[in-house]
Parts: sequence; structure tokens; C-alpha cells
Amino acid sequence: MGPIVARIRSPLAPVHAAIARHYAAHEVADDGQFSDFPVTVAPPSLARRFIRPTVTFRLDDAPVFQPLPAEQAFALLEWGLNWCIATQCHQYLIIHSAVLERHGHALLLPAPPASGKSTLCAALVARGWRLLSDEMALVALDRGDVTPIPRAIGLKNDSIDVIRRFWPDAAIGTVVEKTLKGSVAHARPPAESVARQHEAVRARWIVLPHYAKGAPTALEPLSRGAAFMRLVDCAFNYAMHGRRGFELLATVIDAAQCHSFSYGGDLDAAVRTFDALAEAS
Amino acid sequence: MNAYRRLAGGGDVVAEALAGGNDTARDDGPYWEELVSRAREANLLGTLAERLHERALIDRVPEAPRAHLAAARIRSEAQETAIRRELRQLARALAEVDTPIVLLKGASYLCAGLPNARGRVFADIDILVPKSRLDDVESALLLAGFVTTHVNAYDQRYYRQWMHELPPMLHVRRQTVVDVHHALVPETSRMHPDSAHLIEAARPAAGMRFSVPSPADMAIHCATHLFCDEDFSHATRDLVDFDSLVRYFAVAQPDFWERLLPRARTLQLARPLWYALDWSVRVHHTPVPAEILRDARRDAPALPLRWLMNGLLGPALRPTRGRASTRWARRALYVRGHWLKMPPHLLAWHLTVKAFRRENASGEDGKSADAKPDA
Amino acid sequence: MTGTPSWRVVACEAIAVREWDEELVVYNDLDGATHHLAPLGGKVLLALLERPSGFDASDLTARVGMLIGIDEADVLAPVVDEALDELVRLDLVTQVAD
Repeated sequence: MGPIVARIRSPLAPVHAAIARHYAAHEVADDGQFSDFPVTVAPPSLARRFIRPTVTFRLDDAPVFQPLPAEQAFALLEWGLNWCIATQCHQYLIIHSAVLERHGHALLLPAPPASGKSTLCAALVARGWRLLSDEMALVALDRGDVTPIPRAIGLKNDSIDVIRRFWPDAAIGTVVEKTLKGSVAHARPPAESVARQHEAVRARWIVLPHYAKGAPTALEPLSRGAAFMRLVDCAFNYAMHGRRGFELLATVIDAAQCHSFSYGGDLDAAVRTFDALAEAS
Repeated sequence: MNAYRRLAGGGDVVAEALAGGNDTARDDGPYWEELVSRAREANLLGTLAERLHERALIDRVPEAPRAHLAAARIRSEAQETAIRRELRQLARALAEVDTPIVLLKGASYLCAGLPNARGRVFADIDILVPKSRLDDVESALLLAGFVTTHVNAYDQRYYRQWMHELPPMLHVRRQTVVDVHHALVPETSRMHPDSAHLIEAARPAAGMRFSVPSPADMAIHCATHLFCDEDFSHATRDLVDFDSLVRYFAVAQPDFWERLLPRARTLQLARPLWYALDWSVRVHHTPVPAEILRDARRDAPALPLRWLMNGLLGPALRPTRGRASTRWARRALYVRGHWLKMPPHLLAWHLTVKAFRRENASGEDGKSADAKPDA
Repeated sequence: MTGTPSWRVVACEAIAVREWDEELVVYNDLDGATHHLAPLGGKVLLALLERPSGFDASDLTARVGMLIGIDEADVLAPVVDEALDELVRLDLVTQVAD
């Protein structure tokens, strides 16, 4: 996936099926190749395979999270991989953000959870934007551009149906209910996004999304200072980089136009807004 | 035949790589994957990165594993900066308390400028103060914005009555933790080393309000922490620390070997020191003079116990890849750790209470999948 | 000048700043904190950064006035005072001991 190779082991058939579906377009590395993260999604014990079945996610064979019900195995895998990247890949400055590309430039949607960024991300992908990531902007320390790591787009609750309607061709997997985040499903990344996963791009637009049901679609200019602080707040490993992180984010902000964006669910209007933004630059 | 290798079932790839006994340029995916994975699990990735840098070998590492070493280095540099900042804050908080304060473990290695501080993963800051000044130190920390953790009555009693330290103190805004020790091992231990010895022999750390243990005491405390603590998950890394300390002091301090065993005996910590020396030689081929090892063997336990311990320690000290033998060994050693700390009747009660609470706690001992990674 | 308080940046070499449209973001390497300052607070800090040895209150007000194009000291002084309090609270600025 982008610069990362994960070696995933699991005895569970549903996990194999989900990987086959969502990572269909990804390169499968040769068994003798180095993998960055040897991970396992499996029941914690033999008993737990059958009685109230649960699964754990292990990195290097050490469990990372509390066990979850077995139906959530693929979701756990995805969260686990996010955790691995966010806590280990300090060769990047990693920002909690969706990242998309149009006309050779990157759009960042840095935001806390429940801001609607994943829904917006899926909608833009549905209408032709290239997906770099729905969760994490990997900013290269030396170049300041964003490295793609396109994976399944995580959708939650209402946005699952919204996206099914908006993006009829989407390959959306099984909906898993009652996770910590509610109902969760994943949409397969487009083959083209995966094919171009080695093409890094610089950020041209930084837009802070905010979803409020029924709110009008509006794109407003945002001060660079405020956008900068949002990037700092949303960065997983800003503290690791100290002054270098400060300078790096300042460079990213320097080259970008910053906006805040509010919307209330009208995805067509949202996509038109971003398309217009991309055309105007 | 090397007993360790027989017991542990094979080469220790991390120890070998740390010692420099591998071909860095080799483009062998499975080898690097195993090495990175085991080192990461043992929190030794940063240490490995440092050693490769020191030997000017880092550029020969293949690109993909090299990225992990680079990331580990970034992390250890950031942690070092964080520890230094926190020490400045602590010095300020404790400025008015008139007592010697000795840094232990990672913070002491850092302030003494020791080689094993580089690339290290740091967590809490450990300090040692005389028991008589404990209240003053705790008050000063509370005034400076720290709060006490483990607030339920059982844990408070566990720490204050039975252990060698206060419950960890957390600075709310900075989210940093200080462990305030008043003894080297818990009150309820069978051993009763007098921490006054260590405090007395401590030397000031350059330009700081704190002092660091003498070389012999540092090595002995490292051995004690490794072999007497109940939590063996850091065992692999602690043994690397011990090997590094001993190698450094053997060169930097001419009478280090002369002082080491007598000092351990004065502190009543000769047994953990013997284990540390024995295992450091087996795993890291530490150059311990033969006559020192012979002498130290006097403090080894009787042979049957030694066989049992070696059977447990071998698997426990290897960086694990989830092998059942390691997990079992560590669990068995967990009980041993407790046993050393507490008389049996207390131990039984403590373990029962702990087990019960773990079942009832929701997510207390693990991380929720929703938690924001704190790297 | 005893009795007149003076102010200085805690450690100039530890501070990095960037300014966009009069707003300042500040990084302080001493504690690793990052701050976003409103225009006036930013100008006060920038003035103090010009002179590591520090300013007394009236000189500071005058310098800030020059930076923002307002010369009514009596209007500016209390606002600069407030900004100084905030900068001290953020551990960016400290009073110079006389």
C-alpha cells in the first residue's frame, strides 16, 4: 500500500475474503520480500474461536487492542494498520486527513472524527478525484509533498447508504453493526488510484470540513494561521518532529490556499464546489 | 555447548545485530523483517539504529528496513528532548525541597552521558529519595501540578505500604509521569538493601540539581530491576542496558570490577547481579573477567533452582515472536517477581484481587480501538 | 531604571515564528509548544524578538505603535499590557529581573 508492505496472517476466511475484495488492485508482494508490519488478525485463544468468538490484532505477535467481536475482524485489521502507520512511520509527518488529487495537486481535508471527511472523500472519489488516503496524509520530511497510501475508504452509519446512492458503482463491503464507531463498511479504492499510488503530490488546497445536517454548502476563506493550527492539532506525530515539524507544516501552508467548508449532505453541491476550486487554480 | 542456545532454541538475531555480527548490506527480506520485528517488539529499534550509525553501516541497510531505523531514531531523539525538558521542570518543582534526589534508570543514563542512552526508548522518570523526605517530595510535586494515580484504596495501599515507590505521579497538562522511589526493592521483599548507601555514593549530574548513581550502583540497580521486577516485558532491553553499562564502566573506571561484587554484597543484591552477569555473558558475550564470574557464582542459588531459573530465563530474555514458551516463561517469571517482593500470604491475596479487577475493568488494561495513537 | 518593569523573550534562539496576514504562529523549543497569536499579541512578540535584552513597558508600547501605525500610547498601553500577560502565561515572555 503506497510505501508500506504489510504481511497479514489470519486463520479467518471472512478476513481473507475482505482483503481479496478491498485490496484486489494492490500489488501482492513476494513472500521473500521484507514487510514493514507483520500483523495477525486471529482469535486470542482456541476457546475464543468458537465461544463468543472474538479477534485480536497483533503486531509482531503482540496484541495492540482489546479483542473485538469476530464480525469486526476486517474493520479491526484496517484500524490496526492505521495504528501501525501512525505510531511507527515517523519518517513522515502524519496528519489525520483525507487526501485527494486533481490536476496534479493535492487537496487535504484535515479534521477530527465526525466532521464528515470520509463521506466527502468518498463522494469526490466517486466523481473522479484520485484517492491518496481517506485517513492519513503522509508528508515527506525532505520534500514536503504527500505520499499516497490508497486503501479501502471507511464509511460509518448514515453515510454508508448515502454513498451507496451517490456512487452506485462502488464496491462496498459487508456492513458491520455495533462497533465502537457504530455501523461500519468499507468501499474499495478505485483501481486507478491504486495504480498511481507511487505518485506523490504537493498540497494546493487545505480545506477544513464541517458537516451539520441541513446546513447550506459553503466554502469560505480561512486564515493561514488557523489552517496551520488545524494541521498541528490533527498531526499524529507533530511532537516527534519539534521545530522541523513546525517548519515543514509552514512550508505546506505557504504553498496552499486555505478554506473552511460547511455542508449539510448535498454531495452534488459539495463536489461542484471542489471541482470549481480545482478549476480556478 | 552454549546452554543458552540450547535452552532458547536458536540464535538471537537482535543480540547478534547489536553486537555487529551480521552482514548489513545483505538484501535478505525475511532476515530484515525478523530483525526489525523483534527489535521493535523489544523496544530496541532505536538502539540498533544508533549502533549501525556508530559503525557507519546505516547506509548499507536496504531501503525498506532502513526507513524503520530512521523512524526509530527520530522517536528516540524526540524522547530525549522530552526527558530533558521534563527534568528541567522537575528541578524547578523540587527546588525548595532540601534533599538529595538520585535519578534512576533511563534518566540517569542520559544525564551521565552513557552510550546506552542514545537510541533508547524512555518512558517515565524514576527518582530515588530518602524515605524520610517522601512526604515533602510528594507535596512539592502536587503543588507543581502533578496528581497521584491509581487512586483506588487497594492500589494506594499496595504502593504506599508494600512497594518501594509512590504511586506514579502524573503531570496533568504535560502528561508526563514521575516514579518516586524510596528504596531499591519493595518493603515486602526478602532482601533489604539500604538505599542510603546508594544515595550516599551518588555523584552530581553535570549542571543539574539531581545526582546519578555510582557506576557499580548503576549496574547493580539495572540487574535488580531486570531480575526482581514483576514485569518481564522489558527484560530483553534491560539486559542490553546491563551489557552496555558494564562494557563502558570496565573501560572508563579502572577499579570497576574490584568494587562491583563487594558493593553488591553490601547492598544485599548479589544474587540479581549474578544472574545479570551470567546472562549478559551468555547472550551478549560481555567481557567479564573469569575470576569475577567465579567469585560471583558464590551468590548463585543451588543447582536445581539454577536449572529452573535458566529454563525460565532463556525464553523470557529472548525477544519474542509470540512463542508460547516465551509467554509461559514470562508469566511464570511474573509470579517469581511478585514472590521476591511479597511474602507468600500477601502474594496470594494480591494476585487474587488483581485478577478479579482485571475481569471487571472495561478496557482498563488494554487500549480501546478508538484510542488516538500516542506514538 | 528601577521600578519600571522590563520584559524579554524567554529564549530567542528557541523561538521560531511565521506570519501570515498579521497572524503569528510560534514554536517554542523550550517546551515544544506551538501557539497561534492574534495580530496584537504577534506584534508584541515580534517587537520583543528584535531586542533579546528586553524592553521596558513604555519603549515596548512605542515600538509596537510603530509596527502597527498607531501612536496614541495611552490607548495602546493597556492593550500591550494585556498581551504581555498572555505571553507570560504562555511561557514565551518573562519579566527581566533588575
